Amino acid sequence: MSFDLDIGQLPDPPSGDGEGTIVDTFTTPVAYKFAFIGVGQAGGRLAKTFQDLGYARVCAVNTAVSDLAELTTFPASSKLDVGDQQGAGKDPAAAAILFDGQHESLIELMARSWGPDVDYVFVCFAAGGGTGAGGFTAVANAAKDYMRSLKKPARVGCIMAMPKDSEGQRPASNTVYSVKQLAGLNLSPIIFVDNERFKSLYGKKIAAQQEKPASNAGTAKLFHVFNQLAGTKSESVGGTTFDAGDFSKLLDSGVVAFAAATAKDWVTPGAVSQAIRNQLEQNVLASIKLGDGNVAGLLYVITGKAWEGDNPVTVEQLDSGVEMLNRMLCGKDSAKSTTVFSGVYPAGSATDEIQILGMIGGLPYPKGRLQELASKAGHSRDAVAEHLGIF
Amino acid sequence: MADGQIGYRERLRARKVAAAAKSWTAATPAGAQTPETVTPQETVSDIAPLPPVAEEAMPVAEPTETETVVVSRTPADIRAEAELAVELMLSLPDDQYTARMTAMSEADPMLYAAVSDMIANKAAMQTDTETAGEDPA
Repeated sequence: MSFDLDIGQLPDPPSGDGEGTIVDTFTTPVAYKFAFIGVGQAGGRLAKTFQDLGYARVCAVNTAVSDLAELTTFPASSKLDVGDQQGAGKDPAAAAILFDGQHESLIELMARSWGPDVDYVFVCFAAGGGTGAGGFTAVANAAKDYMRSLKKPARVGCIMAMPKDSEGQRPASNTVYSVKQLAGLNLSPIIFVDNERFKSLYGKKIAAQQEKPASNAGTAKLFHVFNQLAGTKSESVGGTTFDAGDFSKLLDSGVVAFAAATAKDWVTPGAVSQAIRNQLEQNVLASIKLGDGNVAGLLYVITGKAWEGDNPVTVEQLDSGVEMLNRMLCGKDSAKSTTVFSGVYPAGSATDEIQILGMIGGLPYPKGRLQELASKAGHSRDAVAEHLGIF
Repeated sequence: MADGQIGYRERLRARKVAAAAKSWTAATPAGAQTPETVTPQETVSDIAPLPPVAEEAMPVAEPTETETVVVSRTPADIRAEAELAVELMLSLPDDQYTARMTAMSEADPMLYAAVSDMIANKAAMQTDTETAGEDPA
């Protein structure tokens, strides 16, 4: 038997690195290819903060077209409007309904915006917002399925902005709702952008219009530096280096927080460890105690005379800093198992100093802050405890 | 529970059985009694019962237990618990697996979410390995 079959001209198969490949725009290497999806207005702004740093795999989803429109640097194909109403009116339950049935649309959005070359996904949202609080669960589940469709483990984390006290009762109540949802999602890392904490640290120095952008950028920049330095060969000082594997252990350690300190004195014995003890905990960008964590990254970025002057920093000084952070993680529990991954990076700069960057993992939820918000929202402590077991 | 998880577990179990038989054979001195033939239909528990310590350490409530677990755990603690639980879950026969997962979903939803997630991850990765190893013919 014979028959004629005309299927026309077949299209050329796509090449691996051809047109349409999504590439981050920073020039320095990084350890991992991160992708970000913003949920709601604040989530979109958080994702844009990472785009501004050079991350190209970004997209946004919202229930209000007007909020998506403000993301002018996002391609139209990287924005998804769900539902046919203008926003969720700060009501997470209403937003959650709008996200029902959007699973495939979300996965298609991710495929368009990120491409297949993704190592970690971050869902960015404001816990106090309606769309963010109501939609992030559906988005996180879609992100997991997208990663699995790429035959990769679903490394999906979140960056959750927490409201200030002054934002009122509804955002506080939505935050409690968000954290309850978060507890059942198995995301890692979980990064809290604590706007109340940021206000207490920097509120007197930041112009009102710059408050939220600066708060987002503070966490985003530190996170990006860790990704950059984990992708850069560190100096082998005292036999330790910080690499992508170490970074992944931090990324997989649940709740993480960032902190920074600067040491201007590296000569006086104990000066570096003193800077860590006195400054690092004070400057943590979340309402946590270092002693609550069990794993940390400690990076020294050493500039000017601190690296190559007549009296450069010694191995002993740097090691004493690592030991100090270990002791801080242990707290009063000397039997506690802790790990500190350290790295040393000389950098060109006109200043003579050591920048000390900390990423602390294995943390519990910021229960003190959540208690405050739950109380403000009129929830009983038990309402949160029932879901998180933290109070 | 997704059908894919069961399918994956069956494949994993078949490989474990084959590997167990292979390692037994390799470790058997010449002249020793030949082990009974192992078929993929047999479960790991049938030919190599789980050590009692592992059973005792299983951080999962019995199926009849429905009380909500409220203990102070960090997300990292839950992930570590889940990693231990996943291996044990995957080695259980189907009926026990289903019963334990159901019990876990009621007694400890957070651990259940983490375990389900990790099993789904393993299934996704395993599909990739199998696809890569398949003979196109």
